[in-house]
Amino acid sequence: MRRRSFAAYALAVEGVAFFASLGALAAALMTASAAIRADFEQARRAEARKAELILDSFVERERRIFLGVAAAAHIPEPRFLAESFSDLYLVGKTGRVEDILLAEGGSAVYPGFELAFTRAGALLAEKPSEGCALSSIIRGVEDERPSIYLAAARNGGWIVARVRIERIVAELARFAEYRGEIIILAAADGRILASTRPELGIDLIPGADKRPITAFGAQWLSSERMNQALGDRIVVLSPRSELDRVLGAVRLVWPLLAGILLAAAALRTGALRRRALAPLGRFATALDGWSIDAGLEPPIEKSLLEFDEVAKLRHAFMQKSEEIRSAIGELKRREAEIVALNAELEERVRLRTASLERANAELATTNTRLSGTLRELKSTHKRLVDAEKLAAIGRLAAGTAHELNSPLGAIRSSAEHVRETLQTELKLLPDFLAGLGPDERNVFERLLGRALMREAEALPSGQRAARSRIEARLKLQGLPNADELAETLAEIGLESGDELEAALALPRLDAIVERLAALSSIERAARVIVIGAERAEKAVLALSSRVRREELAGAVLVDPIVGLEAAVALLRHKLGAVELIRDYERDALVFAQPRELEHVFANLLDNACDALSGQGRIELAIRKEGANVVVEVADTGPGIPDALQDRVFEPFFTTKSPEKGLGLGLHQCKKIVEAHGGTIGFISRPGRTVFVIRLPSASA
Amino acid sequence: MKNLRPALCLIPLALFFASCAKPGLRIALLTKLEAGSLVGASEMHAATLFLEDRAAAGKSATITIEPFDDGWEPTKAIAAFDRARGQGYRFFVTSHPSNCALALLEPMRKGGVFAMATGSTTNQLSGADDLILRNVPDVEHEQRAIAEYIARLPGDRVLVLRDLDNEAYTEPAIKAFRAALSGKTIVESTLRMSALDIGAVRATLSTTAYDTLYILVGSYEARAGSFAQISAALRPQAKIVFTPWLKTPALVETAGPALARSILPAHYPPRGVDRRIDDYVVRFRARFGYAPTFISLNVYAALEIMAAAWDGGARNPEAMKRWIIDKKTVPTSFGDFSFDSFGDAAGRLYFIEDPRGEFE
Repeated sequence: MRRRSFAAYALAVEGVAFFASLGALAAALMTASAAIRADFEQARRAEARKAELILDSFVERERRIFLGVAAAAHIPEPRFLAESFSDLYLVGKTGRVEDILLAEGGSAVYPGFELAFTRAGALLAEKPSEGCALSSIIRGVEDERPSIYLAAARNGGWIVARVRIERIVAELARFAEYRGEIIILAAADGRILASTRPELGIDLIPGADKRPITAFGAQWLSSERMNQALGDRIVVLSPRSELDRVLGAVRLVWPLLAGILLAAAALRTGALRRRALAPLGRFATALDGWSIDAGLEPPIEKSLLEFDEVAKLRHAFMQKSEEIRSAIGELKRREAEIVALNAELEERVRLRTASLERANAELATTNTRLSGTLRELKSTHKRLVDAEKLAAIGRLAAGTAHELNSPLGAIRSSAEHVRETLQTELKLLPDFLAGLGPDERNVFERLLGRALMREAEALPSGQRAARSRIEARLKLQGLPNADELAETLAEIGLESGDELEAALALPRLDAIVERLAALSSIERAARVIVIGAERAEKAVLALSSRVRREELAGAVLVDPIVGLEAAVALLRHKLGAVELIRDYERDALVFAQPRELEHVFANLLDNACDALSGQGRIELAIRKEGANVVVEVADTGPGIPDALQDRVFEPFFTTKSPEKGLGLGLHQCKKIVEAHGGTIGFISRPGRTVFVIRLPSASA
Repeated sequence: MKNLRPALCLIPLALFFASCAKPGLRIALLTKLEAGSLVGASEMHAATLFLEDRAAAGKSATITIEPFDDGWEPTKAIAAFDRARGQGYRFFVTSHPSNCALALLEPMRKGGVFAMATGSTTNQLSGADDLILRNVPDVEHEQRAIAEYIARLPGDRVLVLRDLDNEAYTEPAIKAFRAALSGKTIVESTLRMSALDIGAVRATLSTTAYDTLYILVGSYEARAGSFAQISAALRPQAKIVFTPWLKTPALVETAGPALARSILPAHYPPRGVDRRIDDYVVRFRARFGYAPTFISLNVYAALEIMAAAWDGGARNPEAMKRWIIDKKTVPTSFGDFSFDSFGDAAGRLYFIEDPRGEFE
């Protein structure tokens, strides 16, 4: 903390007091200077007024003399008038000079001179019948010197007198000389006409700005009056030196008073230091050299004790010394206690430190051990991860096998069917064909062609009725396998008409229909093989990209019935005793990739077959519903557990064993349906699960 | 000390600007400074007007003009010149008549100063390779023009009233006049304007037969106008011709009605013919309250010429003379001024009949 000093404080107070006094002094001097200036200005105005009075009295005297001359019956001798006038003319009515009574040498005026053209002659225009007209100061035409003209009426004409201004200027000069001033007579526009110092020059007189004028190497202050009689200005220039002298004297007072103030301040400061601060300093020195051990009383010189403040301080010090002495004793006792406590504390710290060092060593050992354990754990974790990867590869292989097993199973069973049927038919067909009559052969070939062109599909409800009629007709003909024959005939589209009647009329209808059925079954088996191969191919592609998407750029108008029946044909070998119920609405067409749609239907049908395990019922339905076509695949299986329903469409989610699939089927279905602008969902409870697909209708 | 640092930093800057500051053109104007006189006041106020116009035009070079009173007297002219030289002036404009110009001829040549004479026509300034230039034609040129004019006037008798007080002008003038005027009889009568005896003049005019009165008086001695009045009264048919150096408004008062039948030669066209002259007179009157003499125009033009030379880089008397002579023709507010190789102007004279309008 910065320490303060009484001496510095006293000096600062004195400084402030000094400068404040100085400021007050300056203000007083400025006020005095302003008053002096005002006084001088007033004096200058008075001088200007005096000069005007002199001019006025001069003009008035000349005017009276002139009026006397003008009124006199006989004009006095010119020599008596020369003292007043420079020139005196008698002017006729026309303004022409008629007689020159008085003229100075060098005058250009002569009897006959046209005075009316001059500024002096302008007075005549005023036609002064009484009294006289007075001009302002003008330059006379006689000798071009500044003059005043007077004009008065006389004997029908005028008498004109000129008074040269030098005379009054000389009079003013005597007045101005006394005070060292310059008096100027100037025109109203400011041009100097005459002055008591002729060499003053011709510049314009300063206006009201009151700035000093510089002339003759000095500065002058001006004061002016406008003379009413002449219409000219009277300017008095007073030397500024007088004002400067007075102001200089005032300015001299300034440093003198400032010095006195400074000396007074110095004396005060000295007295303060000598009488107050110095004893205080000696008292402080005495205290500085005093030790409490030397005694209670500080060694203070006796002269200081004369000061009441020092005596009081000494007394207070002695009292405080006693208090300090007892306080020091107490402090020493407590210091000894603290030393003992410190020693005890140090011992405790030492013991505690040793204990901590041991614990630290144990911790280091444990840490080393745990580090080894951590390394082992990391190694074990790596091995487990590797094992999990191998397990995932195994599951992927098993799923892949399942995806391929279904189509491969269909292909194998269809191929065996083709092989067996071909073996049978190739043996029977030559004899059979040889035994046919021309009509029978013709009907057989036509029906065979029709059967081979027919797509595999279920019998619609109308055909089922026709089948029943055909079966009834065949039973009437006593054919033992009437139901199978009716089924075959209905499948190849012989529902009614002449062609049916011709077929029913054939004597060897059963053999013909049997061959037709066998041959058309070969064709269907071949189609299943193709479909199975395509599905296997798609399964491989799906596995390579998880979800396969195809652009709908190749979409065509598709009847979902065809796709659903293709799926049925593909999975017929898995249906076993499962009852299949179809409920199809005709003309429910959509724009779609036919193979994609068939893949979706086959997945749903496959899942239904897996859920039923060869027992139960599958219901297939297609219907139009507003702007959509709805396809439903329902089964009577155990249903999907509630806890798993949310994850059904997740990729790689499956409730089956790994060898039965990767869990990509429904995920793919969802992607395909959504790619077609549709939705897929399901409702499942124990005993009934329905998957519902909604696709935009082609007719919407 | 720390507080003084900015101020200390400014010192070199101030010194730099002080060293870069261009010294201005300081011109001493030698003229007659007499209280109440139009002569001299017109020249000084021409200088004032020039400086005001230049400031209004925003010209950068500083020009200061200091008048020195030469009283149009040779002895006072020398004293005024010495005062100006003592104050360091090297560029001068003079408006005094020829007698003052002759008195200052040698001091000016020795002093190596540049001077532009605006009112001195003496032929002793002509053809000299010095630093004294002149923007008025010399007396021979002037008188030749007047003689040619008078030669065309009717009658063959010419009375010349010549002022002996200004012989520096009137003596070469009468010689030149006589030499140029042919076919007419010249009667010369001399007088002194400083001791004018108007009766003697009247007697001369009444006893001498003449067809043309040529008043060969200069220096703006307006009293010479009375001669015209007397002549007009005595010989109303006679033509009265003044010199250009009587073109002052005071002539209106002294010449009175005789001015109507007088011819006033002038260095500038009549105001009614040249708007530039009229504009100047109007502006001058509005500014100072009176009509100027024609030397006022000469002074204004001289200042324009010198300022143009200064702005053109002429920084010393020799350079200023060279700049003007090399230019040959310098434009001014009143038209172009042409100079020959010696710096003498060659201009024509205009003859104003009934010149009353010039002073309105």
